[in-house]
Amino acid sequence: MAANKVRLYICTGCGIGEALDAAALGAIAAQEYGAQVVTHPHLCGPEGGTLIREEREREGCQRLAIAACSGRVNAEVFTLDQTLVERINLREQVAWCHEPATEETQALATDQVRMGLVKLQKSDFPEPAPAVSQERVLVVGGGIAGLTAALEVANAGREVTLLEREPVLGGWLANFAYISPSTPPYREPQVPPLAEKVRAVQAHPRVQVLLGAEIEKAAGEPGAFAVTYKQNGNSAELGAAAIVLATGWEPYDATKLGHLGYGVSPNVITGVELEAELKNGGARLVNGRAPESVVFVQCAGSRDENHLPYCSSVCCQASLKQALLLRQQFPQANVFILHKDIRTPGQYEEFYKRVQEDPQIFFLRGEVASVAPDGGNLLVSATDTQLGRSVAVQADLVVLATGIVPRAAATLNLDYRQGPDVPSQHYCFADSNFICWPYETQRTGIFAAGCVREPQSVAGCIEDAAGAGLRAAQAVTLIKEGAALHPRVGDLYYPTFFLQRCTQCKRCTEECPFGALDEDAKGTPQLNANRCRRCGVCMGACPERLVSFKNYSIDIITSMIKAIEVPEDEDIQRILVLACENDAYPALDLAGARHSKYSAAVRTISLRCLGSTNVVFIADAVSRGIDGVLLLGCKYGDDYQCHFIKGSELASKRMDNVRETLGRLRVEPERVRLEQVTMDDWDRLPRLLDDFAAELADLGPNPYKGF
Amino acid sequence: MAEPVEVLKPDTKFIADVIKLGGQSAKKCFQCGTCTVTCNVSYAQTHDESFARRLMLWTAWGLKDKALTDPAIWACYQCQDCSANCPRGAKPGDVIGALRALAIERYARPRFLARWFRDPVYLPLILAIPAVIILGLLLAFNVQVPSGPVVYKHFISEIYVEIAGVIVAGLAILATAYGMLRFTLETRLPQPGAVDGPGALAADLPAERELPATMVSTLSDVATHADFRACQTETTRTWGHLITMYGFPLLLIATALSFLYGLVGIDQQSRSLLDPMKIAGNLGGLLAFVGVCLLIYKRFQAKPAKWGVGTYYDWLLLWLIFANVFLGFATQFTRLAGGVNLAYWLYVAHLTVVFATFVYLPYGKLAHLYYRLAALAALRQGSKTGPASVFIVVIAGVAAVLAAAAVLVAVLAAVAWVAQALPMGLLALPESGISLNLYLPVASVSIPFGCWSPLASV
Ligand code: HEM
Ligand code: SF4
Ligand code: SF4
Ligand code: SF4
Ligand code: SF4
Repeated sequence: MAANKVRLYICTGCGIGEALDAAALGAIAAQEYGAQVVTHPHLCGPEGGTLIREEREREGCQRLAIAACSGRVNAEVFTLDQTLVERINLREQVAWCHEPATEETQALATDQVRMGLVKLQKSDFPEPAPAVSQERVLVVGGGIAGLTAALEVANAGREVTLLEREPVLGGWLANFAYISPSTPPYREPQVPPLAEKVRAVQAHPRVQVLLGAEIEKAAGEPGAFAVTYKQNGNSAELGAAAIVLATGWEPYDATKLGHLGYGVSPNVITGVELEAELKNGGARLVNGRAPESVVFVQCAGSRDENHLPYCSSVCCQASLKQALLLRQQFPQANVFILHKDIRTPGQYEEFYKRVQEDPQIFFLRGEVASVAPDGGNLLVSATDTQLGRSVAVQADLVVLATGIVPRAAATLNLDYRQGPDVPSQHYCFADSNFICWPYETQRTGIFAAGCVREPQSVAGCIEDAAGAGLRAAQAVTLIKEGAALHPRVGDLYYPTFFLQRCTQCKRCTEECPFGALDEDAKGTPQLNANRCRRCGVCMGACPERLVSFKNYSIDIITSMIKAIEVPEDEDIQRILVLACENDAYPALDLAGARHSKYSAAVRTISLRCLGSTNVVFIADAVSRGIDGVLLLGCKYGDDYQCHFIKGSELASKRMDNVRETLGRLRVEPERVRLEQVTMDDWDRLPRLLDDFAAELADLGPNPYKGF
Repeated sequence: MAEPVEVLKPDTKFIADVIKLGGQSAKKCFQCGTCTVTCNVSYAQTHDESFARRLMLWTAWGLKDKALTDPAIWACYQCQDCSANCPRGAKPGDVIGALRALAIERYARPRFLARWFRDPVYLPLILAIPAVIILGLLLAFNVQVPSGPVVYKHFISEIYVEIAGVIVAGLAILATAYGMLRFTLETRLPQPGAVDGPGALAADLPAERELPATMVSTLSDVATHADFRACQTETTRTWGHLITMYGFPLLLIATALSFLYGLVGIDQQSRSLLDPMKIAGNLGGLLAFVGVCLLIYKRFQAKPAKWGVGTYYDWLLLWLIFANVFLGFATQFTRLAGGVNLAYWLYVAHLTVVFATFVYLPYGKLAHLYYRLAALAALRQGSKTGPASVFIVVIAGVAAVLAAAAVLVAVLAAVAWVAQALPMGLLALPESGISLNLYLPVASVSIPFGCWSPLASV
């Protein structure tokens, strides 16, 4: 295996040299893996960096192992062209978190070096990226979000197609005379920034606008989407590299709000209906006279388990604005705002304060129980109010502040095995990781902006659209290079499927969180490489173990596990930790950086995602006599933090299989456990690991030890 | 759940009135309840779950009757602990102050007199009425500024001043009595744990609470300013108030004595500065002066962001009291210094301000002294007997003071008569002798009324 010649650099700086016997490590590496070993006192310094590069030139060795600090730091020093670099973490996870110069710490370092070298020897360079055909961005939806996204993408230098269902651009905003203020001092309603956006889009040389068009089907993958749309009765096709979904919202169906008087009287209207009246010359007169009393019913159908369980976050500010406009139109009128709470996120609180100043706008918290005819006008009754009792207010006009329903489903009609919709996690809004990458949907290359993603104000939509648009523009570039998008930005490896052995069990196609895998007629998976985010969930799922990356595979991981030396002495524990690289592994690094100590029996392998855990990893570990296996992954469930959405959840589901396997091996199921951790669990992790070690000690040694 | 539904109708005029009286921040409230937990008269001591907050809501909604008949508005010391802590920049202390002003107006008859007190436009009128009465007297009797040493009764006979005082003070007392009656009838009584109304002192409301216990607790609280002193934000003001408040009974005693001296024909002006009347008058005046100066100083110091510098309504009372005492002392000192013309005219000005302060008692801010007592009693007692009994006690107290003064004068008179009978002539008899002359019957019927005209407090 001459080509797999490896060179190992051991750094003795940062306390590594004091904690470990570097010479002994080097001797084992040379002896067992034929590595050329270089020891250096300060590898990340300018001298060390130069040394590595000079030797790379001179020796031509393409596989370098750096046994030093964590791979999460100093990446710029240790990244070399045309070179496979494996970082062996002797600092954060060995020298800094275990007793220095002890036998167990040295054993841990030795195993870390072994695992790193095995991985390095078995890894290979990525294959060239598949060529892509498209560079255009498709923006779906011509409302304020879509217009903004189109402009952002075009200004970033990419060609854009803006597709709008209606015959005109503008979306809902075209119906709005004013919006709540989004600039200091946030006191008076503002004219929406629509006209200038529409003009800019229409005049932009890189934006093509398709009006009255609806998408029939979107097939393909990022870099090569083939979108069929219908316009004026004709079907046509366009190509796109990335898509921005800005299809917006519609108001909740007020006909379902009979208890709030909708349909009972013509003078019970929705906020959106009032908006149109205000735009077209002002609110209605009631019985030919200016209304003396107008009641706004907030949360009409919102925050209500029977209707929309969520808060739409904008109806409050919309009503505040409308209340002011009504007071301007009818100076004598009293305006009542009956609410569950007034929710005015961010600076809209200033606007709320402004509206409160009007002596004839009245706020009361309570549950509106009914809106009923009362003589010539209406009576709005509320229970459980802040006045401590049930009260009623007479009204000439009642406005129901209905919530926002996203238009996410059935808009793109994706030709994906997993279905036509952009998936949702909550309430039909297009899901995205709301903290780390808010615009990436669960479909790679498709970015959501505006109310289709989350109910939000005009200002929010504009900000969203800028984010999503720039993400889309960036995606076009990355995809062209064959590089992954978030979270493994720039990763050039793809999974490969050794399909000769495929049994068409469909686990991979079902479990891929991003719908990257379609199926042929027989059910054999077909990868759409650019939809893939490189999580390895398919690798973990496949019972035939035929999915692999050139630098991450079943073989590589199991070989690493086998490289761990399990002492015959029954009193010496060995614990395998499979840690997700996104949160768990960094948390372990942080624990080390804070010099928290924990059991030196722990051997950690970093996984792309806990979802890439294959049951065979655990079976191998246990049958080799390792006392216990701990899986550390991100939080899963409704408010998931998993960077691949479902990875850690899928891993937890596979634990059933694991238990079965353990049963077959006659090993206690307690030896394997999954824990959900976040980055800030660094202070909890050492205790968690020690507790696990103590529990394993209570169970006694793994019966396979010494076999 | 057959809870009666109340149809709310905001009284927008009421809202405008509150705003004019310094309560504009009522509309800022967003009902968080911070004021409730910071206020020492509400939550911390009494577990009134909604005090201050509910008044903000009622005010913002223009629910006038609810707001003005809540006795808890009189439990508020306007200490501004709430205003200093309101996250919304509302000033419940100032809003409740405005509510008190409107409550005083609500009970006052004729009501227009009360309205005069909240608009500076009427200040000339307020002062003109007593001034006209006094100058009218001067004209009617063709009074000349006398020459020689300053002797006020040569200038304007005490009898006229006293008759006028008795009449207008009597009217004021009638208006006060009427206001108290209305207050007693309309006040909404606390219900333990009530959210829809006063529940102040609710936890402190044992069912068997006896009236005397209520009275003792109320009066001792006021006498020591125990609750007032719980304030965290503005502490000096409490002492200013305490001192001012104690100045007044002394001035009342001096007035009563002077009145009785007049009745029995003792020449007041020639009494030495060690005479009981003089001691009470000068000591009371001094206390009131020091107190009111402290209060004025604190108002000037107030930070508008924290609590109000005060409205015209607040300032009017402070300056009236200041003018009263200041002019009183000025008159006394110019007389002693022999400044003839000046002394007489200062005397007229003093009389005018005194009238303006006390004749208008039921119409201006000073009315708080009896509404507060009554409301505190109502909150403690939890029944209408509380306020009613306060009224009785106040009247009885005043009568007692007068009786004591009368006894004192009788003793003095007796001593004087005896002395006159003695050959040594130890004491000079008052010029006119002991003349229980013709106005005595009128005046003695009006004794309780007369106390309100501390004419000779100098
Ligand atoms: C002869 C009796 C009284 C006099 C001369 C008197 C005088 C005054 C004066 C001048 C102020 C205005 C303070 C300022 O503007 O800072 C005031 C306020 C106040 N007084 Fe009195 N007072 C008397 C009796 C009472 C009584 C019996 C109470 C009962 C507790 C009371 C409670 C208060 C309170 C709480 C305030 C502050 C609230 C406000 O300014 O409206 N006072 N008083
Ligand atoms: S924004 Fe206001 S009205 Fe709309 S759902 Fe939220 S709380 Fe209700
Ligand atoms: S690596 Fe992840 S995203 Fe890619 S195909 Fe496999 S499961 Fe899907
Ligand atoms: S603290 Fe301020 S906002 Fe909160 S209830 Fe009191 S007055 Fe209202
Ligand atoms: S001013 Fe003081 S006494 Fe009055 S409500 Fe506020 S905190 Fe309470």
